[in-house]
This record gives sequence, C-alpha cells and structure tokens, in this order.
Amino acid sequence: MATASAIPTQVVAPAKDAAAATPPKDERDQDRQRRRRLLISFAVVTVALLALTLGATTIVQFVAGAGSAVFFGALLVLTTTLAGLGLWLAWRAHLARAALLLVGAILLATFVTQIMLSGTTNAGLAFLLFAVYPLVILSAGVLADRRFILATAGAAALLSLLANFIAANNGMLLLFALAQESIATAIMYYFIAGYQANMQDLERTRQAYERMVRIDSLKEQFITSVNHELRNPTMAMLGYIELLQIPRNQSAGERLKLIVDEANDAGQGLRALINSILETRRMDQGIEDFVPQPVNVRDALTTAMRLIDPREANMTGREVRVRVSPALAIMGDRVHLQQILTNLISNAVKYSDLDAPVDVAAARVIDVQYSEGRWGRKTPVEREMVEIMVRDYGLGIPPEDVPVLFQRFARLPRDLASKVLGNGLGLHLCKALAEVMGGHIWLESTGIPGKGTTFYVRLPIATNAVPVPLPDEAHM
Amino acid sequence: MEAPTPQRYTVLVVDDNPQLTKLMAMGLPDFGDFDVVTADDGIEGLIKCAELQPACMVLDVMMPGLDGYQLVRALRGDPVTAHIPLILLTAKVQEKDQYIGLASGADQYLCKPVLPSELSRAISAALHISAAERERKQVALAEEAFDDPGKR
Repeated sequence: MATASAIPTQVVAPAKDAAAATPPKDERDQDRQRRRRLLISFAVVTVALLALTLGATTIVQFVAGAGSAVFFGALLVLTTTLAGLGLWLAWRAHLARAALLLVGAILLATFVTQIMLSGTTNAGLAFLLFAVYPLVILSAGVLADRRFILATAGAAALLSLLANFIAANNGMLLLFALAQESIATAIMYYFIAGYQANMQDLERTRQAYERMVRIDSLKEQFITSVNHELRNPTMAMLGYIELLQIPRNQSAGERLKLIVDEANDAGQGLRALINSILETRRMDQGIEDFVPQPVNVRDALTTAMRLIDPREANMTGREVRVRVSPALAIMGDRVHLQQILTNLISNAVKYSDLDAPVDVAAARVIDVQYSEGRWGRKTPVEREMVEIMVRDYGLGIPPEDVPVLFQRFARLPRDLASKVLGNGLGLHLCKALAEVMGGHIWLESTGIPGKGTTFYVRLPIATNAVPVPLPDEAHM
Repeated sequence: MEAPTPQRYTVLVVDDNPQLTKLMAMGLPDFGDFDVVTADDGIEGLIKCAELQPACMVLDVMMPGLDGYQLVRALRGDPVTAHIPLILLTAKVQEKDQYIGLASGADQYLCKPVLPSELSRAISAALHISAAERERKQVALAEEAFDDPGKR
C-alpha cells in the first residue's frame, strides 16, 4: 500500500543502456565528423594537384603547339570542377557522394591524360600514370569504407584495361598495373577492416565511459534528492516520538491519537521512500525477456489506471478523458504497456492542478522513420503503429529540460524543491520499455504553465487483430 | 524542559513540508513559551512576518518560490525585520551550504533531523542574541569571505 514510486511493484525493469548492442547515433556522428574533415583536406589537395598537373600539361602542350592542349584545358576545367564540387559536398557533409566525386575526378583525369599523351612525344608519361591507379585505391580506403575500396578497384582495373587497349597495348605493362592494383586493394581492404574494428572498439569504450560518468552524476543527484527526502520524514517521526515521551501527552485523548497518527504517517513515508530506492536496483535487470503478443490497449489502460498509487497521484475527482477504440491492440508485452501508461498518467496527474483534466487517446498511425541508404540517400521506412497520447494541462516542461527528461534519475530542479514525490526513474523506464517493444516515445510541451505537456508513445500494431476503425468513428 | 520565561514569544515557522510545520506547531509549545505560526513558502513567510512581527523565525532552505537564503536576505535588508532572530533549518548538510546560510545573515544553521526540544533550545538562545553580537558575527564572516573568496 505504501509503494510510492511511479513504478508498480511487479516491475522488472530496463535497460542495458542503448550502447551495448548497436553503436548509438552519437558514435556514428563522431565517425562522420572525422571523415568529413579528412575528405575536406583530401579534396583541397586533389583540386590543387589536378589544377597544377593538368595546368602544367596544358601549357607544355600549348607551347609545343600540340592540338591536345585544348583537350587538356577542357579536362582541367572539368575535373577541377568535379573535385571542387566534391569539396563542397564534403563541406555540406554528403560524405559518400563527395568521396565518389573526388575519386572519380582523379580516375577520369588519369585515364584521359593517358589517352592524350599516348600519341605524343611524352608517351612515356602515359606508362608512368598507371601508378596513379593503386594510389587512388589507397585513398579510397582512407576516404570511405570497404565497399568503396572494391568499387574503386573495379573502376581502376577497367580503366587500366581500356587505357592499355587504346594507348599502350603492352601485355606485360597491363599485368604489372593490375598486379599493383590488386595488391593495393588487398592491403587497403584488410587495413581498413582492422582500422574500423579498432575505431569501433575505441568509440564504444569512449561511449561507455561517458555513459558511466553521466550515470555517476545522475546518481549523485539522486542521492542528494533522497538525502533531502529522507530527512523530512525522519525528523517528523523522531519529533512526534519525542512528544510522546512527555508524560502530559501520554494520557489517552485526541492529542495522543494525533501524535501517533502523524508519527505513523511519517514512518509510512519513509517506507515508501526506501521502496523507491529499491526500484533503482531493479532497473538493472533485463526487460528484454518477453514474448510479443497482441495486447488490447483499452484493457491495459483500465488496469494501468487502477495501479496508479493513490498516495502519489490523487485520482479522485479527476477527469480522465479517454478516447481509445476497444479493438485497438499493440504487439508487445502487457505488463510493459501497463507500466508505461501508469507512469505517464500518474505523471500527468502529479504535475497538474487537482481539477485539471487529463486526456488519453490512442489511434492507428503510419510511422515514418528514415534510414540512411547508399551514398547517403535517406529512404523512408513506413510502418503501421499505434500512437498513444497522454496529455495534461499542468505546468509544462521548459524546453531546456526536455533533453534530460528521459535520463535515469533525472528530476527537474523545480520538482526537487517541491512536494511532488518521485525518484526520477519513471520516464527513463517508459523509454526503455517502449524501445524494447520496438517503439519510441517523445513529448511536446511549450513550457507554459496551463498549456501542459503531451507525451506520445508509438508501439508496433498487432497485425492479426481485427481491423480498427479510424479514431473519428469510435469514441469511448 | 526549558526554564519558563515570563513572556510568550511568537515563532514563525516557514517550511514547505506540511508534516514538519504541523510537528512544530504542535511540539514547540511543549518545550517553551512559544506561540507557533506557520507558513508554507517564502512569500507567505514574508507576508506573515510583516503582519505579526514574530520574536523569532525558523526557515527551511529548499522551498518553491523564495528559498531560505533569499528570505533571510530580504528580512535582513528591511530595517523593520532586520533585528528578528533567524534560524535556518535544512536538509542541506554540506559545510558550503552552512556557510552560505550564515553569511546571508541567519543566526543559526541547523541540519534536519532536529528534535522539537533541540529546536526550542536554539530558539531560546537566538532570542537572546543582541544586535551588537549579530553585527560582530557578520563582520567576522565577511572578513573570512574576503580572505578566502573562493569559499563562497
């Protein structure tokens, strides 16, 4: 009866934090930043080299009066433009496309130069230029991933074949060039594989370290807040016991009863607090162990509202407006869904005025997530999901506090200074539960008191359930 | 029990925790000749203080709105209330917090949990602090802060 946390007692809680299995977004961002810087410097060097060598060649050809001067001039303009475009793309963080353009520019310049030089007095240079291909393959490895190395190697081999066929026609030379390219490809391929694995390990270690630091500081906050919340009920309990020790107060009557009741209340408060501290221990146990099955949203909601602790959130006289179709079902775990709903609704009640209503609605939606495909293209992935909305008309959440809200032990400064009970675990738990079921959770709030906060949870829809009418057709 | 004083004193207790204000309202008169009045937050505390001119005030530190430190500064800044003995009663137990509390002008800094008897003794002691003594203490604290500005 005295469980004061927002989490009902049957909770088994989250979360191996996200970084354990898949590298988090942050890690990829770090890697992208590094590659972007690398690409930009590479692009600058490429532009300079192409401009210098092709410019020099054009001048030499022009002085020699060769007709090819015009082609070299045109090639200079074309490839330098391509490389410049690559620089711009790298700057705009379109990494894959930038790498493609840069490597393409160098390969093209090399190939055309070979063809152009082949008929002239400088034909020897054309042979020398076969050495550029393995160099490009090496650069490709540095600039992008292993797939890109293979693609570049393929293109280089093709171009060497063509160049040899058109310009050199020398079997030994071709064999030598291809061997060089293969060796470069193999070296770079295995080097990059190892390098990427190392970088990933390093990133993970860094992530884990940062997470630990973050959790440590949150724990510190939590201890501070628990310390604060422990002292008040302790003081009340000890105080009333001291009053009981005064003989005058020991004669039966109204005053004795009052003192005993108050001491008891304070003791119960302490017990609730201790329970909520224990919840934080339970958070470390796994929540992944469940068999996804269809769960009726309205049934879960009914149970969830019963589980809201009356000590923590007073539901009497509270208008909870529910708009959930009776047939709507999610694919997931019943207890997980109930916990999410209990937490969100009890928060909505806790952080709004006694007479303010709370809205709960659920509807079928098409959820669109973007996944990054080849060459940095973003492809939308559409899924049918159930969107559950819990809206209150309370204090709202200041925008600057939103990012920390779902973190473990996070409590807003204003809550620490207020009487609202809480242990900073509820929303963290909701997020972990939603994600483990393949869904996500977010909120919208202007931070203006009275406008309130709306929490949204999207969870996979139960596909084999009866088709659900759109929300307009079914009210509850 | 304290030795009875001939006069009854009005004590204003400001704390946002209703459990504690109730305890003090009920318990303090058992240990001294106090009439206890309570307020739930800093603003209400200021208003009631102006209204009642209490003999002593007991203030919580962490409160919504005006916190204990701000309240102490406000009361000390007003010539009408500057002489009132102020006791900070708080869950903040670090030395730094204690220093801030005393430097803001409070006469005593007590860490929760405090028994009603202990609080009543502190109030009785605070009632007898003279204006001269308070000023001397404040000067000493200010000098300390001047010597070691990093401490604040």
